[in-house]
Amino acid sequence: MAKKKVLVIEDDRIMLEAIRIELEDAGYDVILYEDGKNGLKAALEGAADLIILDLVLPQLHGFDVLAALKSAKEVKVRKIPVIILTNLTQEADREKGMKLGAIDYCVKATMDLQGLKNKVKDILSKK
Amino acid sequence: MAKCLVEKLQDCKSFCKNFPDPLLVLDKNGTVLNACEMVKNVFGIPAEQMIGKIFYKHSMYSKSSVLALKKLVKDSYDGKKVKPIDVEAKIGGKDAIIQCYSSLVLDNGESVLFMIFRDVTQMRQFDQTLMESEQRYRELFENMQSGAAVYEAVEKGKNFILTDFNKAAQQSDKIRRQDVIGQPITKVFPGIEKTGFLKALRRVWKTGRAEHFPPTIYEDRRLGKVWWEDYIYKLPTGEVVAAFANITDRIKASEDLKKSSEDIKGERDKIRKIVQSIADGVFVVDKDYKIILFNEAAALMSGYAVEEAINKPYNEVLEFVHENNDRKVVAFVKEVMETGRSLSSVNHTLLVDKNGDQIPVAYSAAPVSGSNGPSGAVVIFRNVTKEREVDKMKTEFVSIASHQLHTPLTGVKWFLQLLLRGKAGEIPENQRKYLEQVYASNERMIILVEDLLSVSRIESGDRFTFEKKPTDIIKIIDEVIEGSVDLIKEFNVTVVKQEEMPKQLILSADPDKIRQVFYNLISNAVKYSKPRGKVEVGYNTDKKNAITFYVKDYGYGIPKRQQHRISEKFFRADNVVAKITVGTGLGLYIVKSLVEAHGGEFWFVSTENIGTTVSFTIPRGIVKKRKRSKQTSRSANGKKK
Repeated sequence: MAKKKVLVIEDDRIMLEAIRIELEDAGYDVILYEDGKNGLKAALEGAADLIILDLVLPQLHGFDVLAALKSAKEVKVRKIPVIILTNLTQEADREKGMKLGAIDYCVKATMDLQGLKNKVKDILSKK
Repeated sequence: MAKCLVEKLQDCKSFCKNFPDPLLVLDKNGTVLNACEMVKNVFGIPAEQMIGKIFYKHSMYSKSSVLALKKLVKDSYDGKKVKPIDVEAKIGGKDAIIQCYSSLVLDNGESVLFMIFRDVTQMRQFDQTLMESEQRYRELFENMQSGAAVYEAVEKGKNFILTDFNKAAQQSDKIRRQDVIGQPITKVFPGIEKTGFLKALRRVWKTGRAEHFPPTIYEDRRLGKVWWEDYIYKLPTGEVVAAFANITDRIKASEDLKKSSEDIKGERDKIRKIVQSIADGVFVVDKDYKIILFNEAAALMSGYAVEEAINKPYNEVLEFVHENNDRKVVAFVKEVMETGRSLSSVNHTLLVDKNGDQIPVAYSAAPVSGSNGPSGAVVIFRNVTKEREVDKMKTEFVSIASHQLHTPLTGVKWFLQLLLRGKAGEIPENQRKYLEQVYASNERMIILVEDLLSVSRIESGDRFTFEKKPTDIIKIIDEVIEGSVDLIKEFNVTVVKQEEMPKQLILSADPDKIRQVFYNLISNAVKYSKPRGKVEVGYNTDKKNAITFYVKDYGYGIPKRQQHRISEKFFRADNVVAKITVGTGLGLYIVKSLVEAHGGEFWFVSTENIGTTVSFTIPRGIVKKRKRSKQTSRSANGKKK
C-alpha cells in the first residue's frame, strides 16, 4: 500500500524537523513547505492526504491557506483534512480556524509529538 | 276757663278725630281732656277710654317713662323750652319706643297741652343698627392692618384734604391723626407729587373707578425711603379712600429672595456648566427613567441633541448593547434605582448612536438619593475606543508573545521527546534522568507562559468569550485527573473522586475554561499535599441555582493571616514557598476569574497543616441541546498522555 502523504506547512525548521522525524518513523510520506504560498500550491495540486498547517507563516497566512483550500474547485482538495498546529492560543484564533473548516486546532506547546502522530493516524484511518 | 276751652275743643271734635297723628289734649296734671282716634293705632286703646285719665298713669309705661312724661307736662306748662322725648312703653306685649311732642296752646290766658305721639320703634331700631354698623365700620377702619386715609377733594380736585386716618396709617406714616386731619395731602406727604399718586387720587375721584396704585418708592424727611402700594376707592360721600401698605420690608424680603434665588440659580448654572463641559457623557434620569439632564458630551456621543433627549425615557435615546451578543443592556439603571447602590459597567458595552454606529463605552451609574430612597440615577459614560485600541494592541502583543515564547519551548519539548524516546539512539540511564529534568523544567516554563498569558488576557478583557455549551463536568474531571498522572506520581499522592459523583453531569459551561479550573485546583491540591496524601474531588447540590464542586486536600494549608491574599496574583503562601518551588502563584487568581466569568462563586476553607478545600459553583442554567462541534478540546495546561 502506498504511503499516505502528509503535507506539513511550518516555517520553523526545528519544528518541521521534529514533525518529519516523528511522522516518517510512523510510516508517512512527509512533504515539507516553509511558507504559505508554496504550501498552498502543493496542496492544490493534490499532493496530500492530510495537511498540518501552521498559522503564522511567511507569504501567506495559515488562515488564507485554509480558506483557499476549503474553497478550492476540486472536491478532493476541499476534503483534505487540515490540522492546525500553532502556538496561537487565543480563543478567537481557535474559533476562526474551526469555522474555516480545520478538523482540529492544536497548540504546539501543549501537544506531544506522539499525540500529534496519533491524531494523524486517527484521521487518516477514518478517511 | 278750662272748661270753656274743653267745650271749645269738644266743638272741635272733628278736628281731633281727624288729626293725622295720635294726639292727646292734656291739662297741667296730665289728665286727658281729649284724644284723637289715631291714638288707638299707637296705644291700642280707644280714645274715649283715655279721656279723663292721667295719660301716663298706665301700666304700659316704665317707671322712668312715667317720670319723663310727667316732667314733660310740667316743663311744658312751666313754659320751658322742651324737646320731643322718646319713652319706652309696652304695647300689645311688645317693647315700643314712642316719641312725644308737646306744645302748649294758650287761649285767653288759659292753656292746654297738645301732645302728639309717634311710634318710632322701628326708626330707632334702624338708627341703632345704623349706629352699630357705623361703629363696626369705624372699628374696622380703625383696626385694619393696612393704613387707610380718607381724602376730600378741594379746589376741584387740585388738592385733597385728609378727613380720616386710621391707626395703622398713623403707625406706618409716623404721624398722629390730629396732625393730619384737615391738612392737605401735599403738606402731610411732601414727596407725594413725584409719585403720581395725586393724579391717581384725582382719577378715582373723577371717575369713581377704583384703582390699584402699584408699588412705588416714596421719600421724605420723616419717612426716608419707603415702598408703598395703594388701593384707591371713591366713597358714596364723594370722599376718596386710599388703603395702603408700607411694603418696604416685603420688597426687601423679595429682593433678598430674588438675590438668593439668583445666587442659587448662579450656583445651579455653574454646576450645570460644569456638568455640561465634562468630557464624559453624563445623564440623569428621574424615577420614571426619564432624562432630566443630558450634557454636551452625551449629545455628541449619542448623536441626539440635548433638547431631543430631555424628558424622554433614557432607553429611547441611549441604547446600550452588549458587544458579544447585541443584547440590550438596560437593567443597570433599574438595578441602581432599586438597590440604591452604584454600579460600573462590565467591559464589552457598546453605545448605539442615532445613526446606528456602535461606540465602545464604559459607564458607571449611581443613585440620586431622595427622601424615600433613590429619586433618580446619574449615569456617566465615556468613549473607550482608545482604551480598546490599547487593549487590542496589548492583546496582539500577548498573542505574539505567546507565539514567540512558545515556539522555542515547543522545539525544546519535541526534540527532548525524540531524544527520550531513543529516536537518536539509546540514552544511558544517568543521561536520561538529566534529560527528564530538562523536560520537566521546560514543561513548567510552558505552563508559566500559559498562565501569564491567561492573566494578561483576563486583565486586558481579551475575548474571554465563553462558549457555553452542554458540558459533561465529570468527563472533564476524569480527563484532568488522567492528564495529571505524572504530577500525581511525582508528589506521591492519591486523587479520588467522591463516591457519590454521578457518571455524567451536564452543565452549561465552556469546557476549556472548566478544564483549566479543575486542572489548576487539582494540581494545586496535589502539589501542596504531604507525601502519601489524599486529594478528593467532589460535588454537592446544596445550592438551589448552582452545583458546587470542591477539591479537598489534607496538605499544608494556608496560614490564616495570609488567607485574604489567596486570589492575588503571584501570591504563594509562606509555608509552602520553600517546600515546593513549583508554582507561579497565578493558579487561584485564574480560577477565580474563570469561575466568576461563568457566573459562579469561589471560596475556600483552609487550616494550616490540616488542609484546604477550595469550592466553586457552576450555575445550573439552561442546558441547550446542540450538535456537538467536531472541535476537540485541547488540554488547557496539562499534558495529554
